[in-house]
Amino acid sequence: MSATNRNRLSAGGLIDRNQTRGFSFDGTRHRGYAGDTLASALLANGVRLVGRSFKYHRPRGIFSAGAEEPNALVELRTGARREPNTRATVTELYDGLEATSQNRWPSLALDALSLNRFLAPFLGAGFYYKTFMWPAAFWEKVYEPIIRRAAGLGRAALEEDPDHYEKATAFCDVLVIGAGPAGLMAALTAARSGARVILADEDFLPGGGLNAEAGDVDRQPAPAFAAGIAAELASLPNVRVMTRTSVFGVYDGGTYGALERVSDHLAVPAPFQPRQRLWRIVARRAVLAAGATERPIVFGGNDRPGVMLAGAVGTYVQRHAVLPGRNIALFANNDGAWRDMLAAQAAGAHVETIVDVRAEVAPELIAAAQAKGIRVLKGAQVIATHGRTLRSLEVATASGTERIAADTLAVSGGWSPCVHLTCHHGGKPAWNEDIAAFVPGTCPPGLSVAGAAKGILGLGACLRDGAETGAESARALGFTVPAHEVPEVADAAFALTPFWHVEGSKGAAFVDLQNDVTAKDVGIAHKEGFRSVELLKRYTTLGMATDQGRTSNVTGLAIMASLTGASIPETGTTIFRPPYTPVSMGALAGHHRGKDFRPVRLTPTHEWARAQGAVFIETGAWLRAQYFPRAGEKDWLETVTREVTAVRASVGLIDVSTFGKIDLQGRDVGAFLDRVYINGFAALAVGKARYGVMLREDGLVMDDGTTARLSPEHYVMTTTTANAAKVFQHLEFCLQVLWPELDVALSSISEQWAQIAIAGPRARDVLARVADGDVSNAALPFMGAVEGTVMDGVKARLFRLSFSGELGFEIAVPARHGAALAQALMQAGETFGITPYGIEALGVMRIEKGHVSGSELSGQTTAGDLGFGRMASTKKDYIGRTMAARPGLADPDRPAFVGFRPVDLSRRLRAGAHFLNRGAAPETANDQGYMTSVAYSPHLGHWIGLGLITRGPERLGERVRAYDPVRGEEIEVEICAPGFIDPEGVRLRG
Amino acid sequence: MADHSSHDPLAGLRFDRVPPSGTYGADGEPGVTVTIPETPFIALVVARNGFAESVTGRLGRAFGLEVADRTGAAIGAAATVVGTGPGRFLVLSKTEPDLAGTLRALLGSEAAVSEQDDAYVTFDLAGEKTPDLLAKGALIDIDPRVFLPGDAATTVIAHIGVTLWRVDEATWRLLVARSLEASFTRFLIASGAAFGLRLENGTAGRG
Repeated sequence: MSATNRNRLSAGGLIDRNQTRGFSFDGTRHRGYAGDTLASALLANGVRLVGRSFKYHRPRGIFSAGAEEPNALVELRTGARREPNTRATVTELYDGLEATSQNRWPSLALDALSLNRFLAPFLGAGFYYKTFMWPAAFWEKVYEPIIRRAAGLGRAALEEDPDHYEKATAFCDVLVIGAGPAGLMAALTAARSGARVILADEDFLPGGGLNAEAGDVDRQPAPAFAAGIAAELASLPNVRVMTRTSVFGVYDGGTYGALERVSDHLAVPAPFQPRQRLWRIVARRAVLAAGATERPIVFGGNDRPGVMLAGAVGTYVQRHAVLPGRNIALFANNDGAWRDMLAAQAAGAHVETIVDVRAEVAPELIAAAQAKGIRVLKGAQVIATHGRTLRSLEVATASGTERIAADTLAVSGGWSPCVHLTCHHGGKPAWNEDIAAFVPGTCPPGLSVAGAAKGILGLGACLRDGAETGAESARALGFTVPAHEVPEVADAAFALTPFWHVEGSKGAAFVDLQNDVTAKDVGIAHKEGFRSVELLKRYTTLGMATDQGRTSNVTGLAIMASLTGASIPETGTTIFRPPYTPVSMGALAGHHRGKDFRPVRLTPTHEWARAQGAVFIETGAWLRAQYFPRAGEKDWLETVTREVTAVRASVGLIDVSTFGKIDLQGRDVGAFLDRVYINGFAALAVGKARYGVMLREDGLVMDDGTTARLSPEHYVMTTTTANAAKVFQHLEFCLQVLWPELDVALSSISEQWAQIAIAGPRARDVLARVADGDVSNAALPFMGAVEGTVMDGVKARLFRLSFSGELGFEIAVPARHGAALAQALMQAGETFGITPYGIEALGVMRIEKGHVSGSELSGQTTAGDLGFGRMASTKKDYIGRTMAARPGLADPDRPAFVGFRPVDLSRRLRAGAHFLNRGAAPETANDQGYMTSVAYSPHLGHWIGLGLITRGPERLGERVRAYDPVRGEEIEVEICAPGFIDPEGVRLRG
Repeated sequence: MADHSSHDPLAGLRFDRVPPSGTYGADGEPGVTVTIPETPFIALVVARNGFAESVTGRLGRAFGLEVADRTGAAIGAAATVVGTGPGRFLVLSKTEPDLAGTLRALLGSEAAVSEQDDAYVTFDLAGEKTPDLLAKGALIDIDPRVFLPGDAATTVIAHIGVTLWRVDEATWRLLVARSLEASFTRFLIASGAAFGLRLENGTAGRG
């Protein structure tokens, strides 16, 4: 173990010195305390070098104390839980934490690729675009792997994530984002009005800046004040306090996305707890109290480990009782940073020098600094830094250049309000000269901003503004807000002189530390003609990746503004989009991964089919029996061939419960069906079913199926499995919007009825043994539909329909009887060798018969294309009729539905193959159509196909080529009529 | 009852079968109890054109309930009537075997009635953590201070269509399509494991 906590103050801070936390970094073991972040614990243990930079592999240290961290990205955990690019500054220290530095090889201290920095002249802005251009063949095979190895940001785990994630929704009246001074007060005033309040904060400890505040609030230490309010809020039944929760996006209708890190602060989640939870928070009003982020000044060597934001120095000293260094210097342009240093000095830090770019600084600050023995250099600039980690600075003053010893350089260029969420609906931030920062512009509806996030600097002002904004939000919703007291805190004057970049400093001066973008790169981009900040971002990568330029955006565009001679508001800022901080994919998926990716629908005979040895396949949401292999069968084709042969020779059964089933009742059902189907239904007799084709409004085929008339005002429609919901929705639309005057009541009965099809010459014999009534050809003729009972009194609907081309029936029973019906049919058909078949055999038989299915009902075909042209009534109007007459859809050259057989009958056909005339070159201009469905026909003993080819029905007997560049095949096929079996339909009517 | 107490409450369970009765997830008193009772008799009533008000009144009088044409549940001893859309009611009864027939006789040509006894699986959720569990799937406000006994909704939970209503202070009843029973139960177990979930499946082995 290293010398532990050598930089830890002996007292103070919001850590629990009685609770140690052992952890390791790059294999070295250290110890921290409860209340530490990984960053504070590393600093406490004297670890200053934590990573290598993205492009140049320069050594980097800890730069901030929050979510804005650009440098201290580590790999956390090991094995399947390994997680790259974790910010050490927001990682709550837990016992057993294992972290590894990333983007270095072979070690952090000695990095081979740091040679990249000598290539820096070639790796500047836009180097990807300039360097890796030619030859194009190198893009994927050579350049990309090299770039990926050199410019990595850590390694993701390769194993399956062992943790689980979940999603949740919460509703509230007022959502308060951020639990700093403004957020706590906003939540408190809103909560006291009785409004439902959610207070979300990304830290594990509510309080925000109060936790790093040295002074008192309300006659108690600031952190104690924060804890008191947080405790009151937690005790209220109408308040939910969510710590470790980042609100990352503002969406429509007052919906906010938030990520709760439920178990990230533990080595392994507690039993049955998720790792993270994705929240969808629906809030009538929201208060953004996200605070402000300090920004640095750009100067040569500003990326050296030891250079740190001034506020971060304050946070480490005050909150974590850690001295980031032994000898601190400050480089700043504002008074706030001075106060941070004075407070740090009072807490036990040693601040030796203050360098301020301003020639004039408030005399009381100078007096206070000098009283503590701090040397003050006014009108001075840091122009260089030295040391592997920081050892000294070069400072240019009016009287020349001098070298100053310091192991920590606190930097402050002012503060930028965290306006990000205010931009998620397209609002643009506005420039505020007083604080030289962007403040919120137009906010998403219902969102107000409070405190530092709106540019208010000063603790007392933030407390007051938070309280008032929370009260206003509650009042706007009609709540009565009781009078509230806000503790008085005297705010010192805030003074800042905008200053961005030390021109003429020595060495690389970084604007964006995470992406290794230097001030020079901004200059190159400018020279090459990039003016827009959005283009500057894309070209230089400034402001990209995990930190999204929290500490670099404003500085980058300030430098661009000075180059172009425009003002900062004229130059504008890049827009902020969700997510505000990275969101893991696991959280977005929640419960829905693996087999739970989406719900699975099971047929009523699922367990029965399983017992029969079925192989299942997902068809949409349904899991259906694909085929039923038997011992000794070598592949699916052999199984399917047996199933088809058995049906054609005797009888088989299949569960068709997945079809959509819609109950239609009313006086006007016939008239309604006439309007939604292309063919006539008004004259359909009771006890009969009819095949129908429906078009979309645009004239293309939507779906097909049969509709049966059970009684004068009662019809039952079936739809394809795939379109069940769509057709129901379509019919509802027609009734609610187009023809509300029609008396038609729709009910979905898809789930109520199990439906089993039996087919084959013995089908009637089997049905007769199961049905309670007469099923003779006279009682139940082809296309007949009757209600009755089966299996001694089970209510049933019997339809004489056929998809296979054989004598066929469909038997519907209440779903609970589905499996029993399958068993009864198996028993009844035993003497005929009844065979269960799956959807593969069903598909083979429908192709043999020449029926269209999903591959043909593709959403691109017209009724004419599919051979239903003559079915379309000319005596009535129906949906899609007018649009189907458009020249493009009525063009006689359109590919139309026919069958295909290979000229060499031993050849296999391939669905998807395109048709070319003989001698035509294989190019799009010569495309004649394509093969939609193929099958091996056991009936014919060779492969057959269905497809769409130009003027197909006029070309029967013609030979064309089926060209399949995907599989590298091309064979000759003959166009034929689409019915390969029993084209006269003798079997059906038998 | 089996005790499924590994870290993953769904470990070892087939995804295409309704999980067996048992206690899943965290130790101790379960935060949620899920009961899948024998399905009551269910029928869907859709008022024909112009008869919504009349049908609403007839349903109320027949079952002695305050039925309104809104998304709410009128709960009584003889039946429960749940509004699922304008003029659309799901009627549930434990005592009327031919519920659809009874309703046809009651409503005549004023409504279309369809049997739905086998279309749904009933889930009764009870226990302190029920709203927290539902919030992990439902996208509507089921805060128990907002969603009161007698309130109903037809909505989506974990991509599955659900009609739910709050029966009393402690109990929430959900109707889920029969084909989705296994997937929905898996969602309940995965989401309720943190609280401890007891599943009592009165229809186990069906289908």
